[in-house]
Amino acid sequence: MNKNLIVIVVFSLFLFAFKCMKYDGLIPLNFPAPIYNFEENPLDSNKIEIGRTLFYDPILSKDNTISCSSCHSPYNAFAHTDHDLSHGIYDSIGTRNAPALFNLAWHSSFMWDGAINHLDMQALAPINHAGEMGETTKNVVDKLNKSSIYPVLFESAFGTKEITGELMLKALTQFQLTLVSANSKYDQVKSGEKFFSSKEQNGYKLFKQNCNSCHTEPLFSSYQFANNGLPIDSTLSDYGRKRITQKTEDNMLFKIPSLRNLSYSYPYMHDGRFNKLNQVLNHYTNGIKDSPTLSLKLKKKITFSSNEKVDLIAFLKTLDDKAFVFNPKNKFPRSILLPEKD
Amino acid sequence: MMKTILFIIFTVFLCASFVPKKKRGLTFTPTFQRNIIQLDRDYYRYEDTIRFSSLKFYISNIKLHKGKSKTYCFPKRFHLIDLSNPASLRILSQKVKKSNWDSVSFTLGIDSITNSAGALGGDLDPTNGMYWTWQSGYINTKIEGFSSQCPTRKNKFQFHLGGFTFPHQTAQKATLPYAEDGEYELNFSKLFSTINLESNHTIMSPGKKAVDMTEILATCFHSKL
Ligand code: HEC
Ligand code: HEC
Repeated sequence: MNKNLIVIVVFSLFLFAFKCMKYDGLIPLNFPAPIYNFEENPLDSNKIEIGRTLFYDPILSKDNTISCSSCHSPYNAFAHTDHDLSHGIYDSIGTRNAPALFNLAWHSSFMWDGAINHLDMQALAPINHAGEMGETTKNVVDKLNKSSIYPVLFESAFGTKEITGELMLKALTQFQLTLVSANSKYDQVKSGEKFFSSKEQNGYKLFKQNCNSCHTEPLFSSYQFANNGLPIDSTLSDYGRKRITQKTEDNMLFKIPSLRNLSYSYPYMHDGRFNKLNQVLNHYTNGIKDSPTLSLKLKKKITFSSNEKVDLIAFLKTLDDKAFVFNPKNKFPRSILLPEKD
Repeated sequence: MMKTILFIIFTVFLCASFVPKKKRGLTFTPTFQRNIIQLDRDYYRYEDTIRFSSLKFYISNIKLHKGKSKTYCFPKRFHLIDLSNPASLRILSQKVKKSNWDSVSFTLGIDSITNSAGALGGDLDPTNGMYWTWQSGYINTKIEGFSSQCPTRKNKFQFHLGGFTFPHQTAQKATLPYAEDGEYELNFSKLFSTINLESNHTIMSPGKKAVDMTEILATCFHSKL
């Protein structure tokens, strides 16, 4: 009896491992171990496809006008470039800049202030936000259950026609976990396929001296929180992480964003205050506002010559991942949402 | 050969699970002024009229104890008790035999690991409206209604009690003597006698106020007389 049990356990572990292996390619070799626990939501191509469909479907909003992609466009590395602050339902203007979405399995928290502790639960925020999608979770799930496409899709992927909040969230997560950006020139240099120009090489050196402690390789963020010395915008009064922890030492701390794909994801910072990388560098050299919570790493003044700025920007551009931004697998699923009628 | 053995084991288990067993269980009844609360009904006290529109709370990790050594854990870990769904007040299990136990222990609320575990289903599904959306975490207890004392719009009071991070953890353990009929009440008269609705009518996020109120609520469980 005991022996049989062991055989069964070992066998199911094998099956399980095999299933996980299918999407191994999603974990780039030069990346650290991901934080998302894939065992709790093992990737599956059908589930990913549902997630992609949900991501592009305005059914998630109250008046069927806004989808996740309205604020997170694939061509902007899933950020939004027309606005500094995000625009939602009924032309509401939000209070923060929509961040780029990639390498989400390595984030330890979500949102500029880390309000959300798990990728699965993130989608609840825009769906229920009065000025973003203006819906309720229950109502969205009811709409999905009544739709002509979703129950069939869920049955083939999850083995049940009955869509729940849990399954909707897990599917959205699956798609977002596939948004991995690790094929920039930088990555190709690291794997020996390409070489940096001398400008890029010098920029890389300056980056490692001044920026890497927060925007840490190879993700180009430690995904921790820091105050990088931005003066407060008095029209927004956004104190960042402090809203969540209510601790004074967290005043003006924001989640450190990755520096990958910056050419696509402007404007920059939590309130989109800078449009150009030059402005960002000028902030780090001349704009740092001292305050009790300013990161110790930025207490010492940074100086760059104008050539050094050019070099640093040349390096930052090697972090653009064109293959990711134009990957057809991440795009609007036309065949499902707008099938050709004949 | 092994296949046959497996098949036999499987069938035996399958049949066993179909043999009807009398299910017993625990009932958690929210009461006000010694009666089960009816939603949308007026209750009168002092100078005040009070009405409940929604009452929901999580009970988790229910265990029965006998002596020091014997415990039985209810197999289903999380129960959403929702007054608008009377079936949810009753928590059933086959193992609850009469007079067999000394005490019952449980947690009012959801532990911190589960609060950080991502999307979960059943009683923990976010469509139940017991998960905050702008910030992660379960609402352990939701008490909503109206009182003529509240200086708010439409005299509404709203207590969304939750929070799982230090120092504002709201999940509360409770232990009660085992009641033979498994009937417990959650006495909201007692809770409301400690709340000044004129000044304390809205709690919508984690913090000290939520912890204080949950600590009191956890003392309002009694075995029904
Ligand atoms: C109205 C614009 C808007 C819509 C619609 C929207 N988002 Fe966002 N998204 C934002 C903004 C703004 C933030 C940053 C919010 C904050 O920091 O408080 C954000 C943050 C995020 C993050 C966290 C990223 C990080 O680095 O922490 C994820 C993931 C995300 N959104 C996914 C989605 C998904 C999935 C949907 C659809 C269900 C969606 N968004 C719909 C604007 C939007
Ligand atoms: C102390 C940690 C720290 C250091 C050192 C640091 N940054 Fe940042 N960086 C941040 C934080 C935090 C933000 C987000 C701030 C906000 O939006 O409020 C940020 C934002 C950025 C952004 C905007 C990205 C986006 O998607 O919006 C760029 C670009 C940037 N930093 C470049 C640099 C460069 C280049 C250096 C080195 C010269 C550097 N940073 C050094 C913490 C740091």
